Amino acid sequence: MTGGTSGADDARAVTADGADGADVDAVAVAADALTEALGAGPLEGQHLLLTGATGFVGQALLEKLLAEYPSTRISVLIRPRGSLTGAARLTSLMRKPVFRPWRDRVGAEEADRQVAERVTVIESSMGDVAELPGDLDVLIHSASTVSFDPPIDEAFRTNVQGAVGLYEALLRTGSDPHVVHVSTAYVGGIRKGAVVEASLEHAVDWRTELAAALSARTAVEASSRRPEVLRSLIAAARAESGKVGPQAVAAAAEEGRREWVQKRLVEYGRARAQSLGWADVYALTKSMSERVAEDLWAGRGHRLSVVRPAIIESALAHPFPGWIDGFKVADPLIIAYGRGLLPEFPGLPDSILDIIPVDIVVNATLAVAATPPPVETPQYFHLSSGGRNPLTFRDMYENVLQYFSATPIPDDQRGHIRVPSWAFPGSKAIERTLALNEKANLAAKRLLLRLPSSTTTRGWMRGVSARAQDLELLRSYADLYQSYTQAEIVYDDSRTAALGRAVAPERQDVHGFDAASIDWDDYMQRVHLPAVTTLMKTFSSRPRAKAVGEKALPTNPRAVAVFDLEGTILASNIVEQYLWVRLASLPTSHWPSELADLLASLPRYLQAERRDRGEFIRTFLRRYEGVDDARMRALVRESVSDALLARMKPEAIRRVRAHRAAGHRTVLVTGAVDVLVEPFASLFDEVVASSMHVRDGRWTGYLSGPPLVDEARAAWLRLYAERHDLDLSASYAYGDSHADRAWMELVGHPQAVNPDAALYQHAVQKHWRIRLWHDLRHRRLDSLVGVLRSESALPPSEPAPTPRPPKTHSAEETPA
Amino acid sequence: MTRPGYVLTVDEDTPPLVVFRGGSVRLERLPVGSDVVYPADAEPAVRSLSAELDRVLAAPEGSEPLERLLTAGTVLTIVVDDLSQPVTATSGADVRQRIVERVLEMAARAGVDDVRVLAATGLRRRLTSHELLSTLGERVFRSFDAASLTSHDAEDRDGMTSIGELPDGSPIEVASRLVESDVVVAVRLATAVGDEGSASLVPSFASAATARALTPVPGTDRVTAQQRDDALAPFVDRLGDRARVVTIAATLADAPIQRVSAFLGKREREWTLLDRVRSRIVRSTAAVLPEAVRPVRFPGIGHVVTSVRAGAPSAVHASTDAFLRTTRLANPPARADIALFGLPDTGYGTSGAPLDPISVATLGLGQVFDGVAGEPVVREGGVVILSHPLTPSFHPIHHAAYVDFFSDVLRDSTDAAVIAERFEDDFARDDWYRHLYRTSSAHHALHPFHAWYATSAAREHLSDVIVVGGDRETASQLGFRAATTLEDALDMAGHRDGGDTSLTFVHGTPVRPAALA
Repeated sequence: MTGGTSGADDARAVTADGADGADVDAVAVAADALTEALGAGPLEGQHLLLTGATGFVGQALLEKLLAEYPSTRISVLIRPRGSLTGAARLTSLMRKPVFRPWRDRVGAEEADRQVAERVTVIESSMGDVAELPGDLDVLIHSASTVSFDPPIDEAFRTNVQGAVGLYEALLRTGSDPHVVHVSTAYVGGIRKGAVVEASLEHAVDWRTELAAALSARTAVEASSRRPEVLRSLIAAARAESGKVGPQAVAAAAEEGRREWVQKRLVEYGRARAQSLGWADVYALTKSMSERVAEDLWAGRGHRLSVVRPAIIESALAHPFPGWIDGFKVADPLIIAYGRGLLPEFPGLPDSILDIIPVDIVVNATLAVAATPPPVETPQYFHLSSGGRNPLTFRDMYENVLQYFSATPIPDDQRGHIRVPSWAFPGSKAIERTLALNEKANLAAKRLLLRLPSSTTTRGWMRGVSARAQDLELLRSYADLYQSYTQAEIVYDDSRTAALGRAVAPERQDVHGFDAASIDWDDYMQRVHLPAVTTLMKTFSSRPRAKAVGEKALPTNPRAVAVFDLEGTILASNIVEQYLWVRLASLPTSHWPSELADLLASLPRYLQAERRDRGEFIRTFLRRYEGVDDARMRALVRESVSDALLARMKPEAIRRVRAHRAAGHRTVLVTGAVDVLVEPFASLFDEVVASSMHVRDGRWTGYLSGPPLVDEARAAWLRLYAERHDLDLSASYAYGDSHADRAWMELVGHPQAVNPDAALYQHAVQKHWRIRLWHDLRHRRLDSLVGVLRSESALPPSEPAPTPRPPKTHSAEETPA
Repeated sequence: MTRPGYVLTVDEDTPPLVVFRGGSVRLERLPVGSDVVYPADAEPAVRSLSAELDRVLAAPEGSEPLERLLTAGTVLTIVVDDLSQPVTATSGADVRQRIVERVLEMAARAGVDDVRVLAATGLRRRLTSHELLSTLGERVFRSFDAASLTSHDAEDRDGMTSIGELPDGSPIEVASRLVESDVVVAVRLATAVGDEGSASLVPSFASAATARALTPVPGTDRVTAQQRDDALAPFVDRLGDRARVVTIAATLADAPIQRVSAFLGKREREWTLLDRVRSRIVRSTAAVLPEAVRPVRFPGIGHVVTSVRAGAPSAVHASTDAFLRTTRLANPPARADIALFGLPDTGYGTSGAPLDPISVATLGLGQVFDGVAGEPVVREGGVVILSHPLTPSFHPIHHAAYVDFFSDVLRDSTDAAVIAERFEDDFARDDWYRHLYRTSSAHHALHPFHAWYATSAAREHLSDVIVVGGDRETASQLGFRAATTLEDALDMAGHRDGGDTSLTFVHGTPVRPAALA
């Protein structure tokens, strides 16, 4: 083609390197069209529809259109979310930082007026596209998923089926807008070498894949209900929540199944993508959607352009340097490094990190939108930097190192965080270290769960949990960034470059998009890293452990405070109480045999306790068989009550009285025998304890009702609350062991008292209040001595009954 | 004849002196020029308690012989003074046991069959059966059933009778059993001037409300000490129209129980080599053994009986006082700028456990006005240094109210008037404390208050109280300061070597203040 302006000559001259004739023509046509458009003003008076306006690129596109394309009318497709209509979402969108410079420049009133006049909201979701306007000149489709590893059905539904719905709706209007389909450079798949700007070469049928992906969920759901899967889930749930009770196990098992389904679908996605040659399901679905656009739009006689940006990061200049909306792909890595969490990284130092600032993407997209290709000849543009201005991983690392060495992230525990130096040992070495650390941490956690609870072990548990979090982070990064940093792909962007050169010099500042002109060091140090660290401070993830002050209890006659006894209020347990009572009522000569028998039965009791607390209580209380009821009560009244009171925790008593003073109902629930709980009865409004079955004035050793522990206690609490019209959400519960979780979860203010490791973990996760109550350092021996002394002072009543030898398994024993 | 007390002026030759510090003992070198007040040597023990008892019971002071008062049909109540720590020097029966047995024999011979024994606990805790057993002996203990051998219960509203009125109109309520008796025999003990408590039995048997009204609180318009004494004067020899009181009082003196601690009774200048070795052993053991393991706080300081008197309380009280005054220092030193008191744990009602901080304060500050010297050894605005570890340990039952008093009340204010107004009512009405006082063995909720009020006069008088060796947090909660060594404490008190601040150290065991009994 001859004639024309200097712009067209330039274009032709430049594309002489390596491009063939047909391409030259296409580009020339494009250059001419652009020149024409530039004469009148690009997109002048046109009606443009934008999808994905609430996303990162979408916001930037909308902002650019409003700020720099004053005559363009814009329709946005916004899905209503929850109670927010599309229009409401637009209003809140306009408040975001990206629009601030424009709003400041024209004034808020003018900005709102322009929006009202130029922007129309079409409420619709991708799956069910509403009627589209029939007078569109341009459609920019930038809506897609945001995460890299969603379940396969979600990925296909949003990226592929969404595109299908959109294009079908567009076809229905009968109009002929120029469609700009925003894809991603990574549709290039896993390969080495240069990738050109052309249609993807593969034979994958998007229809088949779409159908298969959507039906995958049904298949996986069915698979998750297989007995083998369910059994292993139940076993895992029981190991974790068995002591809490059957309901907790069921709930944990079902949640485990749902997690299993999600994980499996993610696996489906990753595996299918990799089997077809893409890195992940995101890249797979984006390439499928390109095919959809080609088939349904370009293939039916319309004009299609495809832009493929690489990793989009913060803006170079517009709307302001460093603008970014949330962390993008490379950013969590940067932050983790800045916080000293990444000792090393799997990545080749020479591999290219293809970053492109968002304002360059926007300018390029709009330029593409203004220069439609011929009908049925879609054109492709790579928006990347790796072709002509590569940023290697080592460059990036050195910039980050320099930045964080100069401005380290402050940490209130350490002053400032010192960032590690990387040596790039290679991915295998790193994988080994990571796997080793994970195993070690898991082993430590398992061990800690077995140890008895104390301040030291709780501290360790905290450390182990924090370390587990860090390792999880490392693992997720290592997996995620594997493909992005090992890649040896270069995305050739000559077409984009040519298009960029066609923009008039005086407009380059505002509308230019030359990736080769980016000074990476400057971008990193001045623009991107500061932006990311500012963002990080907004989302600081480790909340400082604040010292929680004690708030006064609100008065509430409908609130109840439920207390467990052993370990919470009393620093004693039923074995010790039994010892007091028994030794006090036995003559000294019988002590050795009693103690020996108790020791011998200890393993049996421990086993029962591990299985089920109710079982343990029942088994242990059998030892009280034959005890005289009246004498036991006298003994408790005289001596054992003092010993029990001496083991009280004064902070617990104070707390109970505080609840009383606030008008709350105070309830003591315990599996211990009611006789032993009498000394505390006056502190509480209600005492629920086990009661022994009495026959002929003697205890039979059997309980007259099942002991209230774990979930039985939860059921009782629910009933109690209903019966007395109590508000559980305003109530309080105090317990010390993992088994208490069942009923503690029912109230609005659960508090863990001296929790064991498992309860501590749960409490930390659920943000329960954790208290440490100590008994006054009154020694156990003193209590025992006190009991024995007082017993000796008791008036000798009728001779103590010959103590029944504790039940053994020998067959010759006949009950007396 | 025993040596009178004397004042030693420290010079370069003076050896380090014994200073109690709770469960252990220190040997401290005092600065040159300080005064050390040594109490008089202990009076010798009576050789035969039974002979003495016979003698005084046959010829009591101010009343007829007890035998003549007891006839068949007499309603007799025996009241026992409550020093919870068993008071014996050697293994043998407690002096109270001996006296009570003698009285019971007399009563049995006279044909009296309505006898009850009450422990004069006042607002202090009930004595447990075991304590009653060890105090009164097996014979006495087994002769009575649970209803006839009890401690006083100040919260027993139905068991009180009013016998008079206080100046502010509130009634004086006393245990009914006393008022309804014909003869009340009071077995009382005294170790130093003033620690026998009131001559009248009313404070030990009053109802909680009366006890509250009888306690002066400086800074408020409650009854003053003088008004109280005047109000109780008619109730010394008689309690109402019917009951007649006869006292049998024994005076006690310190006597080390074991040979190991014999050095404690001697003046340091007179220590033999063996004493020096023993002191070394005791100090090393105390330093090495962790507190929790030391079974007895310290090789015990016990008591011996130095005299016995019987008769009408007014007469006996006066003559006991006069007797004890002879052991007082004849020429007390001039009021010093700084006074130092060493406080042991034993002998103050806690049976082997360390003293709780409030009792330490009461004991230590009680020495200012009611100590060995009779007059305050420290001038107004001076500083008192107490030597005690001040561990914040409380007995979970005995000190149930103390724990809350210490953490909640003292944190708010240490001023007696403020405390009385803000907190006394709540504690007095609290059901839980009352439950523990009546059914278990806790001190009454008002007891910590009264103990603290007793320190007001001393705290007003002084400008600062420093506890050497004391726990810092606990000390600050009490409004005191803590120092690690004696030198630091003296420094904090403003003492300068070569300067002109005077220091007086009161040697030996402190006098038990009535409020702590």
